[in-house]
Amino acid sequence: MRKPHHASHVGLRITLLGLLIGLALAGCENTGGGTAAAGIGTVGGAAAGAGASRAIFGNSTSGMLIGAAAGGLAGNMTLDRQAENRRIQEVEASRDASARRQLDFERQRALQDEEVRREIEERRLFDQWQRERNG
Amino acid sequence: MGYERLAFEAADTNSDAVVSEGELARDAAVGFSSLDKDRSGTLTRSELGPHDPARFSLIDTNGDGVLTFSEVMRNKARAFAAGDKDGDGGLSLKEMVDAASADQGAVR
Repeated sequence: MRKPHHASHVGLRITLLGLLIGLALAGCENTGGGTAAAGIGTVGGAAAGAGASRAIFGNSTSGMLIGAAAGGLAGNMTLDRQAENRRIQEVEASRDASARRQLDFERQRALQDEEVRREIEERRLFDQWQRERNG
Repeated sequence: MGYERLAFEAADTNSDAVVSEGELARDAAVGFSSLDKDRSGTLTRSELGPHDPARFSLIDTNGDGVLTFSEVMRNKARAFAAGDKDGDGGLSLKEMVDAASADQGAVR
Protein backbone atom coordinates (compact mmCIF):
# COMPACT_ATOMS: atom_id res chain seq x y z
CA MET A 1 0.00 0.00 0.00
CA ARG A 2 1.47 3.33 -1.02
CA LYS A 3 1.22 6.39 1.21
CA PRO A 4 -0.55 9.26 -0.37
CA HIS A 5 1.80 11.87 -1.85
CA HIS A 6 0.40 14.57 0.46
CA ALA A 7 1.10 12.56 3.65
CA SER A 8 4.76 11.96 2.80
CA HIS A 9 5.20 15.73 2.23
CA VAL A 10 3.73 16.51 5.64
CA GLY A 11 6.08 14.01 7.30
CA LEU A 12 9.08 15.57 5.56
CA ARG A 13 7.96 19.05 6.56
CA ILE A 14 7.60 18.07 10.23
CA THR A 15 11.08 16.56 10.22
CA LEU A 16 12.46 19.73 8.66
CA LEU A 17 10.59 21.84 11.22
CA GLY A 18 12.20 19.90 14.08
CA LEU A 19 15.62 20.23 12.50
CA LEU A 20 15.25 23.99 12.01
CA ILE A 21 14.04 24.56 15.58
CA GLY A 22 17.00 22.58 16.83
CA LEU A 23 19.42 24.67 14.79
CA ALA A 24 17.74 27.91 15.91
CA LEU A 25 18.05 26.92 19.58
CA ALA A 26 21.67 25.92 19.12
CA GLY A 27 22.27 29.42 17.73
CA CYS A 28 20.77 31.01 20.87
CA GLU A 29 23.10 29.09 23.16
CA ASN A 30 26.21 30.78 24.48
CA THR A 31 29.39 29.34 25.94
CA GLY A 32 28.17 29.22 29.57
CA GLY A 33 25.09 27.18 28.69
CA GLY A 34 21.74 28.91 28.43
CA THR A 35 21.04 32.44 27.30
CA ALA A 36 22.36 35.62 28.78
CA ALA A 37 18.94 36.54 30.18
CA ALA A 38 15.89 34.47 31.07
CA GLY A 39 13.15 34.77 28.42
CA ILE A 40 15.47 35.05 25.44
CA GLY A 41 15.29 31.28 24.90
CA THR A 42 11.46 31.35 24.89
CA VAL A 43 11.17 34.34 22.61
CA GLY A 44 13.99 33.20 20.34
CA GLY A 45 12.60 29.68 20.18
CA ALA A 46 9.12 30.97 19.36
CA ALA A 47 10.44 33.25 16.62
CA ALA A 48 12.59 30.50 15.18
CA GLY A 49 9.70 28.05 15.39
CA ALA A 50 7.32 30.45 13.65
CA GLY A 51 9.90 31.24 10.97
CA ALA A 52 10.71 27.61 10.37
CA SER A 53 7.03 26.72 10.25
CA ARG A 54 6.40 29.48 7.69
CA ALA A 55 9.28 28.26 5.57
CA ILE A 56 7.94 24.75 5.58
CA PHE A 57 4.17 25.16 5.63
CA GLY A 58 3.89 28.48 3.86
CA ASN A 59 1.70 31.34 5.11
CA SER A 60 -0.48 29.15 7.29
CA THR A 61 -1.39 31.06 10.47
CA SER A 62 -2.15 27.97 12.47
CA GLY A 63 1.09 26.34 11.24
CA MET A 64 3.10 29.37 12.39
CA LEU A 65 1.28 29.43 15.75
CA ILE A 66 1.98 25.77 16.33
CA GLY A 67 5.62 26.27 15.28
CA ALA A 68 5.94 29.30 17.56
CA ALA A 69 4.41 27.41 20.48
CA ALA A 70 6.63 24.40 19.95
CA GLY A 71 9.73 26.58 19.52
CA GLY A 72 8.87 28.74 22.55
CA LEU A 73 8.32 25.71 24.72
CA ALA A 74 11.55 24.11 23.59
CA GLY A 75 13.44 27.36 24.16
CA ASN A 76 12.00 27.72 27.62
CA MET A 77 12.68 24.11 28.52
CA THR A 78 16.32 24.27 27.49
CA LEU A 79 17.97 27.66 27.27
CA ASP A 80 15.90 29.70 29.74
CA ARG A 81 16.03 27.01 32.38
CA GLN A 82 19.81 26.86 32.06
CA ALA A 83 19.99 30.64 32.26
CA GLU A 84 17.80 30.65 35.36
CA ASN A 85 19.90 27.93 37.01
CA ARG A 86 23.07 29.85 36.23
CA ARG A 87 21.53 33.05 37.59
CA ILE A 88 20.58 31.25 40.83
CA GLN A 89 24.13 29.86 41.13
CA GLU A 90 25.58 33.33 40.59
CA VAL A 91 23.29 34.83 43.24
CA GLU A 92 24.28 32.09 45.69
CA ALA A 93 27.99 32.57 44.92
CA SER A 94 27.62 36.31 45.38
CA ARG A 95 25.79 35.76 48.69
CA ASP A 96 28.54 33.37 49.87
CA ALA A 97 31.25 35.88 48.96
CA SER A 98 29.37 38.63 50.75
CA ALA A 99 28.95 36.47 53.87
CA ARG A 100 32.67 35.63 53.78
CA ARG A 101 33.59 39.30 53.53
CA GLN A 102 31.28 40.11 56.44
CA LEU A 103 32.83 37.31 58.53
CA ASP A 104 36.38 38.45 57.71
CA PHE A 105 35.45 42.01 58.64
CA GLU A 106 33.89 40.94 61.95
CA ARG A 107 36.88 38.72 62.79
CA GLN A 108 39.29 41.55 62.02
CA ARG A 109 37.17 43.95 64.04
CA ALA A 110 37.13 41.57 67.03
CA LEU A 111 40.93 41.23 66.87
CA GLN A 112 41.33 45.00 66.77
CA ASP A 113 38.89 45.42 69.67
CA GLU A 114 40.85 42.87 71.69
CA GLU A 115 44.13 44.60 70.84
CA VAL A 116 42.77 47.99 71.92
CA ARG A 117 41.29 46.50 75.09
CA ARG A 118 44.64 44.99 75.99
CA GLU A 119 46.48 48.24 75.34
CA ILE A 120 44.03 50.09 77.59
CA GLU A 121 44.39 47.42 80.27
CA GLU A 122 48.20 47.52 80.03
CA ARG A 123 48.12 51.29 80.40
CA ARG A 124 45.75 51.05 83.35
CA LEU A 125 47.93 48.46 85.12
CA PHE A 126 51.08 50.46 84.48
CA ASP A 127 49.50 53.70 85.76
CA GLN A 128 48.14 51.88 88.81
CA TRP A 129 51.59 50.56 89.64
CA GLN A 130 53.17 53.98 89.15
CA ARG A 131 50.61 55.50 91.57
CA GLU A 132 51.35 52.78 94.12
CA ARG A 133 55.08 53.40 93.82
CA ASN A 134 54.74 57.14 94.14
CA GLY A 135 51.94 57.17 96.68
CA MET B 1 70.83 32.81 76.41
CA GLY B 2 68.49 33.03 73.40
CA TYR B 3 65.16 33.28 75.15
CA GLU B 4 66.51 35.57 77.88
CA ARG B 5 67.91 37.95 75.28
CA LEU B 6 64.61 38.03 73.41
CA ALA B 7 62.72 38.75 76.62
CA PHE B 8 65.27 41.40 77.60
CA GLU B 9 65.10 43.17 74.23
CA ALA B 10 61.29 43.13 74.33
CA ALA B 11 61.35 44.79 77.76
CA ASP B 12 64.10 47.27 76.85
CA THR B 13 61.81 49.55 74.85
CA ASN B 14 64.32 52.41 74.48
CA SER B 15 67.10 49.97 73.49
CA ASP B 16 69.68 51.40 75.92
CA ALA B 17 70.79 47.89 77.00
CA VAL B 18 69.30 48.46 80.44
CA VAL B 19 65.77 47.65 81.62
CA SER B 20 64.48 50.30 84.01
CA GLU B 21 61.80 49.63 86.59
CA GLY B 22 59.31 51.52 84.40
CA GLU B 23 60.16 49.30 81.43
CA LEU B 24 59.87 46.25 83.65
CA ALA B 25 56.42 47.39 84.84
CA ARG B 26 55.26 48.03 81.26
CA ASP B 27 56.54 44.62 80.19
CA ALA B 28 54.81 42.98 83.14
CA ALA B 29 51.54 44.80 82.28
CA VAL B 30 51.69 43.43 78.73
CA GLY B 31 52.19 39.90 80.03
CA PHE B 32 49.55 40.28 82.73
CA SER B 33 46.81 41.54 80.42
CA SER B 34 47.63 38.81 77.87
CA LEU B 35 47.21 36.11 80.49
CA ASP B 36 44.07 37.64 82.02
CA LYS B 37 41.68 35.89 79.63
CA ASP B 38 38.51 36.55 81.61
CA ARG B 39 39.38 40.23 82.06
CA SER B 40 38.89 40.01 85.79
CA GLY B 41 42.00 42.03 86.61
CA THR B 42 43.46 39.03 88.41
CA LEU B 43 45.28 35.88 87.34
CA THR B 44 44.04 32.50 88.45
CA ARG B 45 46.14 29.36 88.52
CA SER B 46 44.39 28.08 85.39
CA GLU B 47 45.09 31.32 83.51
CA LEU B 48 48.78 30.96 84.34
CA GLY B 49 48.94 27.46 82.87
CA PRO B 50 51.73 25.16 84.10
CA HIS B 51 53.48 26.94 86.97
CA ASP B 52 55.35 26.41 90.23
CA PRO B 53 52.75 26.37 93.08
CA ALA B 54 55.34 27.51 95.63
CA ARG B 55 56.19 30.51 93.46
CA PHE B 56 52.50 31.30 93.07
CA SER B 57 52.01 31.23 96.83
CA LEU B 58 55.05 33.46 97.33
CA ILE B 59 53.62 36.12 95.01
CA ASP B 60 50.03 35.75 96.27
CA THR B 61 50.76 37.66 99.47
CA ASN B 62 47.15 37.92 100.70
CA GLY B 63 46.60 34.22 99.95
CA ASP B 64 43.30 34.70 98.11
CA GLY B 65 44.28 32.26 95.37
CA VAL B 66 44.57 34.85 92.62
CA LEU B 67 47.33 37.26 91.63
CA THR B 68 46.72 40.97 91.22
CA PHE B 69 49.03 43.13 89.18
CA SER B 70 50.21 44.85 92.36
CA GLU B 71 51.22 41.51 93.86
CA VAL B 72 53.07 40.56 90.68
CA MET B 73 54.83 43.92 90.52
CA ARG B 74 55.77 43.95 94.20
CA ASN B 75 57.51 40.63 93.61
CA LYS B 76 59.18 41.93 90.46
CA ALA B 77 60.26 45.17 92.17
CA ARG B 78 61.84 43.15 94.96
CA ALA B 79 63.72 41.01 92.45
CA PHE B 80 64.64 44.15 90.51
CA ALA B 81 66.14 45.85 93.57
CA ALA B 82 68.05 42.71 94.48
CA GLY B 83 69.29 42.25 90.94
CA ASP B 84 70.53 45.81 90.39
CA LYS B 85 74.01 45.06 91.63
CA ASP B 86 75.70 48.18 90.30
CA GLY B 87 72.88 50.40 91.59
CA ASP B 88 72.37 52.25 88.30
CA GLY B 89 68.59 51.96 88.52
CA GLY B 90 68.36 49.42 85.71
CA LEU B 91 69.08 45.80 84.93
CA SER B 92 71.58 44.73 82.29
CA LEU B 93 70.94 41.44 80.52
CA LYS B 94 73.31 39.66 82.89
CA GLU B 95 71.77 41.28 85.97
CA MET B 96 68.31 40.36 84.72
CA VAL B 97 69.22 36.72 84.12
CA ASP B 98 70.95 36.51 87.51
CA ALA B 99 67.97 38.15 89.21
CA ALA B 100 65.54 35.72 87.57
CA SER B 101 67.69 32.75 88.60
CA ALA B 102 67.99 34.04 92.18
CA ASP B 103 64.23 34.69 92.33
CA GLN B 104 63.47 31.15 91.24
CA GLY B 105 66.11 29.79 93.57
CA ALA B 106 64.55 31.64 96.49
CA VAL B 107 61.38 29.61 96.07
CA ARG B 108 63.18 26.26 96.13
